[in-house]
Amino acid sequence: MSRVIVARIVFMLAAIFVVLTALFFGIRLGVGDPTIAIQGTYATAESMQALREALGLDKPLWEQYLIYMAGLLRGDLGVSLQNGQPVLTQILAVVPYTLDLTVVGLLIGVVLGVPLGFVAAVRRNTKLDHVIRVMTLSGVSVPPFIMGYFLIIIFVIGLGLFPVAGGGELDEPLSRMRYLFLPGLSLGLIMTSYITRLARTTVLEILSKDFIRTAKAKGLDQRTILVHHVLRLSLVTIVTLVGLYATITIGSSVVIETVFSRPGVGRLIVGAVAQSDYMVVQGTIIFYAAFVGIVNLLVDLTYTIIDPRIRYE
Amino acid sequence: MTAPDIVPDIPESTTNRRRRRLLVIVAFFRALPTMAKIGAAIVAVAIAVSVFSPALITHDPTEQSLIDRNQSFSAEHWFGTDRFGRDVYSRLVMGARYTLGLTVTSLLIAASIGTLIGLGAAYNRGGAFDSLVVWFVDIFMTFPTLILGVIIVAIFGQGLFNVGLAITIAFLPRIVRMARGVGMNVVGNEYVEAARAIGASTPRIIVIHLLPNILSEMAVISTLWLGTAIQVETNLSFLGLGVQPPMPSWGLMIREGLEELYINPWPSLLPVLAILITVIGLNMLADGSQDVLNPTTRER
Repeated sequence: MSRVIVARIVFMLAAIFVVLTALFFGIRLGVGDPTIAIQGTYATAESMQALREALGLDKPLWEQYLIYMAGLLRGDLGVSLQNGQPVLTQILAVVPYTLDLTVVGLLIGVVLGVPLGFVAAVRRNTKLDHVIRVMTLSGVSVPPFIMGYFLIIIFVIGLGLFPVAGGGELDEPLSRMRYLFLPGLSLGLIMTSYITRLARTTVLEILSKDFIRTAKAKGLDQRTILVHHVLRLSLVTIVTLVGLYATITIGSSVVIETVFSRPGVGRLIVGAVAQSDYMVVQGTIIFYAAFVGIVNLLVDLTYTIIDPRIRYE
Repeated sequence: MTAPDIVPDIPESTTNRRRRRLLVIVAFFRALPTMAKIGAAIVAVAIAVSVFSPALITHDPTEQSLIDRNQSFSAEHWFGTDRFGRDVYSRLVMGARYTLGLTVTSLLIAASIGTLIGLGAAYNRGGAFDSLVVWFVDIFMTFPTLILGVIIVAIFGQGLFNVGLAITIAFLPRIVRMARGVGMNVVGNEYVEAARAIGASTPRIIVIHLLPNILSEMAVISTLWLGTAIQVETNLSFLGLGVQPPMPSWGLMIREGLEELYINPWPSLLPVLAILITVIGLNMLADGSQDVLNPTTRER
């Protein structure tokens, strides 16, 4: 068990290292220039050079790289090129918002998606199944920002129920939830569509297995078969793929945060890319890699609980 | 998937290869469920529009006109005009070319390179090249496609070409993984061993002997990603990191139109509909194709 955890963590660190290194050199050799982003296109060559020296961007690339990596080992992500704030502080300030959003999105997805997929599979080719299929097909086809605007039109413009922009106060649960409702629902509905489709396919596959026929043949009632044979077996696959969908969720959260002007890691990275703020881009990428790595680890651990046959030796 | 799997009823005597291939395609479409046929029709229309867009437009899609701002539907401007007085119908039609052309081209490039790399890895199964490929694929699969796209834009800058690059790189690992899996099924065949025995070089075996056998399957698999690729393009354009004004891409049109949503909703609503219909059509086609190609799940 512990070996699997160690292997996962080693892989996660390797992934972060490879991508970070590629990003570090790529972004500095690329087209963006933070000094233009700060001083504007009318800045003189001297003032830009002075700024470059102040930011440490005049040093050779390998030296900048060593400085950054040495800082990283001490847990120092550097300071933003744009506002001079430590990158770690900036990221930690918005992480709760992004976690709220992704966790709620996935939660809605699982809570609605698994039962819906189950029902659709059991009632295959009935009207109910067709309705669920058409709705989920639309759900996976709609870009997240469009889903966001649909909800804004219904709940904010139509019903006037929820605030449209912002993230609320972190230490006031009520305001936090009020601001989370629409973005969470947008993401949740999209995830519901993905997970419903997945659950339906998984359950259909299990229903076609021989042991289900055996269970029917020995006279078990439908309910027992579904609960004891189908549900338990389908959970393993569903947990695996929900882990995979956590990646889609975090990707979509970037767009959702922009639609609702919600603070978050996604807004941070989009702003940093537009301003060529190398340090913040690097820091946020580390966050994303770590997020996905931790989710995968959790998925591995969940297996052993659901399926007793899987034991990591 | 080889031809006989889907269409066992094509007589072996049909020796003309081109004719045979055509029959396979026709039979494939016949075998699709109704939903997928509707999807195929939608996709065909979308592709036709993007191919013939210069002939279909009524105005220059980037030409602004101050007097014609925010007009509603008329004989002159079929879908009205946006806040710069540009013809929405023409922008929508041209947008199909940018959005579809960009995503299809990028995916095609990713599919070509990815298939070769994946095949090479499958042929080298367990070897150093294979391990390296698998390792890289695993690393890049860690990141969501949209975030990979954002990284590429961070390095290479915004604009049409770079969005294409972003889509190519974002989907490359996914296609490599698929090609490796599909390739595994064919590398064990006897004719590969025979080719090796008569001294064929590795590139020759991969390109002449292996590639043709997985080509059709990879073509279908790559198409399945098209809906997702369109979403990446629209999302990047929406974030302001994609196609830059005044070029008409559907994602950009939505972004621009949203600023005046309350005054004139059509310039943003119409591209929303266009994206929805196209992507739903693509996904309907993809769902159906999967059912036909994978006999074990055909019952679904």
